[in-house]
Amino acid sequence: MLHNIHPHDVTDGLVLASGIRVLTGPFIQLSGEFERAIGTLQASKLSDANLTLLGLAQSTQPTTDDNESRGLRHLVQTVAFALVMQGNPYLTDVLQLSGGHGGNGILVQHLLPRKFVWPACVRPLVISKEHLTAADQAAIGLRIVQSDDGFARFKRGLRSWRLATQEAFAGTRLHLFARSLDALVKTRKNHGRDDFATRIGSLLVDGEEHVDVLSEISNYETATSTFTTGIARSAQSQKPTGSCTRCVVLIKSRR
Amino acid sequence: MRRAYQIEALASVVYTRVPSEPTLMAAFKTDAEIDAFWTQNEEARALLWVSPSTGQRRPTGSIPTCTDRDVQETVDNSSTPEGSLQSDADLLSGLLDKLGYFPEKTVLLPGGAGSRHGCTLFVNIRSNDAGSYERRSRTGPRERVLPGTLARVLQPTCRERRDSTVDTRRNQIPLPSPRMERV
Repeated sequence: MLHNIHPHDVTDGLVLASGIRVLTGPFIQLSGEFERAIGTLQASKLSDANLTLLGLAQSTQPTTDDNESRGLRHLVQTVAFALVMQGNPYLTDVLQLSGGHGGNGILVQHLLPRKFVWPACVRPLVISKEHLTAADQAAIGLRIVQSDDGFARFKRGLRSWRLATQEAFAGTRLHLFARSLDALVKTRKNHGRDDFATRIGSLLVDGEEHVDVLSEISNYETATSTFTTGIARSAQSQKPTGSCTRCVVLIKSRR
Repeated sequence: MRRAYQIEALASVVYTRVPSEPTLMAAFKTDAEIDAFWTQNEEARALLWVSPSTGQRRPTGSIPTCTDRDVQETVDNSSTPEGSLQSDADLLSGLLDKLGYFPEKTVLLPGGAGSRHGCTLFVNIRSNDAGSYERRSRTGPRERVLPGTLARVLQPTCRERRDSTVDTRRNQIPLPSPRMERV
């Protein structure tokens, strides 16, 4: 269930190629029992949903959280992430509601807890049928990647991308997003910044115009890596004497 | 902060584009294939990056959800004379409204049919005041990179603005040098 968006040109009950149904609102009215189980806050969020991606499947054991239900959850999650990749930088909440009556009960999770500080003038984003279709198409590819034994770098980069979306601090977000791209760029040794800038730039129209920006991003990413690694090494080099050791790192600009 | 937004948009484009195209997926399966993808020349890489079947990038995969149709609709709805600063401001304002974006944001527009690589484009739009946007481009005719009608509307004013306005980088928040050393 997605919040803070405006579905545009999306028919209620649209069925995507992956079998997921798209509803322009909450699909269920939570009863008092469910509301008590999941809490008032979550219940109010669910009732305010602007868009619902609904995955349905028949099961012989609907009350058991088996591989089938996990696969169904994974399918919906992948489409939701692919929708976020479609350019929804201000999606504030993606909630996942799964389970139901039975042994595992109903479960509400924040699929994408976005705690990043957005500008105050952010307006809800419009999502159209095209975006949903493109997200569904990307999700099909993502599921192929995740079920394959290969794609090691792609999977690693995708993990970084997901971690980045859940990060609140801008510097860490930049670092993780850059690392997610770095996994695919596969820079040569001692050519990290140049390869990152030129190779990513080559995928953009007028990429050479943005090499400076990409170099700067690469510098930030490298600085973050070096800084944290340096602190870790410094801390590891301290012998455990039983007393508290303070590590001070001074940073000096070359300007 | 701005760089974090930019790299987020870029990473999202790449991680949407690759799984959407089987040819690109195959190019990123193993380390050897990734090396082969990056070692080929730029033109061949660009051809692989755009849709291999049509030779053009599909706008549905672009960031941030701005399609040629959105642009066309926005232009059609603009009642002010083309070429004026106010027209451009309205146009951009309409686009930003559609995109849900706030002022001064780097936006990626889909490359048009005449774009060099047919992929995505960084456009640095600053809409703090009327017509105060500036595309950070130094070379190449505008119609090669801006799609369709938007290019025709923006083109004259872009040229005027480039002659008269100052470098937008001066207006950006100065960021500290990323080169650091430990003492």
